[in-house]
Amino acid sequence: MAGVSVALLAAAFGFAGLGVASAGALVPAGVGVLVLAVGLFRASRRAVTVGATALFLGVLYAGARGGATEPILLGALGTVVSWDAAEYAIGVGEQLGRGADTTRLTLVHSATTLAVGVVGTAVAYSVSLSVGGGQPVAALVLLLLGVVALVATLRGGADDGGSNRTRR
Amino acid sequence: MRTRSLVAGVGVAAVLGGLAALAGFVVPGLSATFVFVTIVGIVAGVQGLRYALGRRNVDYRSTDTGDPELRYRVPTPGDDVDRRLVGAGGWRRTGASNLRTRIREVAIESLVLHDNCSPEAAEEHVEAGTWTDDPVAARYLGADVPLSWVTRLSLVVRGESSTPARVSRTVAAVEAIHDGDDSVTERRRERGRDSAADTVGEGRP
Amino acid sequence: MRDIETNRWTGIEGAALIAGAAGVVLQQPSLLLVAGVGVAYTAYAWLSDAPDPRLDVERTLSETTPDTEEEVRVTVTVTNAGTTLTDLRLIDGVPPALEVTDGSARLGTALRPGKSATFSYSVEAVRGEHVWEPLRAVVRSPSAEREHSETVASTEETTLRCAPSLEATSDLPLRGLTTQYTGRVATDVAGDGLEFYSTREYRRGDPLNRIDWNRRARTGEMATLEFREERAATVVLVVDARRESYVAGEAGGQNAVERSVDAATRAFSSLLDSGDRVGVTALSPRECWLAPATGADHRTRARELFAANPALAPTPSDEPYYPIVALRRLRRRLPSDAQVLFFSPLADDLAVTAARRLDAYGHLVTVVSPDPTTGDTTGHRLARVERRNRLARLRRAGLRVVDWGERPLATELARAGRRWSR
Repeated sequence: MAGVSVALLAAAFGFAGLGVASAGALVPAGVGVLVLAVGLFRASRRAVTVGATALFLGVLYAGARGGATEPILLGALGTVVSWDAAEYAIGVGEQLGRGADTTRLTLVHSATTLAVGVVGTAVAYSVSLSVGGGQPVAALVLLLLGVVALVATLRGGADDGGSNRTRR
Repeated sequence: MRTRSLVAGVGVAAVLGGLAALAGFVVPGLSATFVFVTIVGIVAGVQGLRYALGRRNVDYRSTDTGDPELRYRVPTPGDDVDRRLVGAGGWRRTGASNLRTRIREVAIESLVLHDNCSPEAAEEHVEAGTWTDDPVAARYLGADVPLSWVTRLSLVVRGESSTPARVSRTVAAVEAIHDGDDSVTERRRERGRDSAADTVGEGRP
Repeated sequence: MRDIETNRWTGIEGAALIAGAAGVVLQQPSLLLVAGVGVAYTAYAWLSDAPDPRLDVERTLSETTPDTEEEVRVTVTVTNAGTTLTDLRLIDGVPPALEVTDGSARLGTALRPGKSATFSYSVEAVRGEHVWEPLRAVVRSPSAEREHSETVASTEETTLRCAPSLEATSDLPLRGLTTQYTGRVATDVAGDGLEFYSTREYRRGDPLNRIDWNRRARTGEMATLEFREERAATVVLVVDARRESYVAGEAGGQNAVERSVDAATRAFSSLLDSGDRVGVTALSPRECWLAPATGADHRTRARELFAANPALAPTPSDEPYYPIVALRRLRRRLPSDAQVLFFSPLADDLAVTAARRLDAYGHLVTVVSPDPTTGDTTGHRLARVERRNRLARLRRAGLRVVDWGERPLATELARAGRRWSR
């Protein structure tokens, strides 16, 4: 139950952040929060993913409309934390059932996820503040290109390792 | 493997270069032309979309923890029959004929034990279909009793022409041997004498 | 033992790249920051491994030798003897024959090194010796992307031992059955018994309930009633505990072997109380033999046997069973004048064969058959008809059969006794 509260609370924060950033983003974000809540109570991973995707579309929309940076980051954090908590709660429900005490497990997990997001945001934010003159756009493009290449190689590695281990 | 190392090398170099440029160093040959920006953006977007869509048909894995808190489940007699009826839709040939043989034996034995037939007489009854009032049950155990097209059609319409439905009716007919106070075969024989005239001409449709 | 990719973070890298691409193309720094957060989460998902747990498990029972149907509280304490576990799920190995009635045998928690977590639940005791299986521990990486599962045995084996009570006076009306047995010969000796035999002059010390009060009222004379003394019978209780007999009408309910052993337990004390020599054995791949005898020591031994003999366990064994060999050995063991009470659900034809074989060896066989069949599906109905035929076959062969359905065994026995005495 703790997981459900965390998920809904994070989704509400994300929704609020997106609302501040851009009023238009409230439409996909609102749909996202609703679908995510339904997914939680139906224990449907698919619905939770769809809801989180709608929230993410809200983030993209707010960003594209040039909304303020801080509320958009809040929206992104809320999206990931609520999706993570919701999916986690469903998984824990499957493995441990309704009767078991899972409060500590759920809270520690969501706290960790939140902490990772906060640290990531802080690092990205401070980098963006410290960027000097020179060629910022070109630098970012180069960075993105590098990330694409790295993700492609890491994904390949993860896929191979994963399939070897799990297809028993 | 070689391409992957190459891509990884390019990736690391690009990330380092990007970070250096962000920090204020001038990287030679780097310029943010519109075309370059758009191409990198599209490549990244397409790759990202591909990865994100990969979630649509991912299978979530986790350890199955079972139900240790429930009692050990023992079967109920007859579970094997139900499994066979549901599982193969009743159409696996050998399974179906094994089941038929089994029900046939039960029917014969029921007649012997509850209707005071001799084993031979019981077998004849089953052979001729005179052991039951239900033509579907009689036919299922191999008797050549007539079944009109109207009846057949209505069975199909009501969805009772499938093997499970026929087996169910046959079992019900066998149960009737047990439940009836008076002898099923006796009753049939008397009724058969009365209506012999009607059935003779009809034959098998 | 093995690691699993849960795949729960699949697609997060895609979201990061989409945000980055949109940020670059649309020249929006905020989306690039979102992409940065996405990269952080991607690293979180990919770069952490499920730790190898080192756990100490301690399990205590509120009562290790409870009576049947008593609630036993189980308390499990798990101590982390290794690294920090941020995601730890514990599933206790409750013995198969026990059911959790209160609380949950599972816990989800996070444990720092040296710390411990405790959870407790209740089980309802059923007859038998129950050993807890190792606890299953599932740990995940902090992001929960990787999962690792293994079993951890407790430091000491946990055993629950529940013996049936043989002390309470049993209410089974077996007398109606056994008086007709050949072994229970009505003698021409006056003494203790049931059937009136004669009266004699009152002597000091005669029990009050044996005084002929009618005559006292009529004539004022004191006289003592005497009954026909009966010779004790030798009865061997044979429980059909083959794998095929572990069947039940409802999932999770008492299975036929449990009901059989329950009935045998009560029959044992009933027969022993009436002075018969009683033995116990089982048709099972495992060894089970208690030679017929009487006395308090014998009662204790039987209680031990009913509680802990693996052949009579509430769950079947996987060992192979050779019915012909087993029957031959049973025949050698049975005293020639022994009567047999055969407890079997008659779930297959071999049970009928066994009963008839024992009958053919010259033993008087009475079959007590707990009914495991139901009528809810076609297959179950077919099995019910087959079982009814087996009962009829045995009755036709001259064996006495008690079909024990939902009603108490005492009622069924009384009904059957009336039918046989007619």
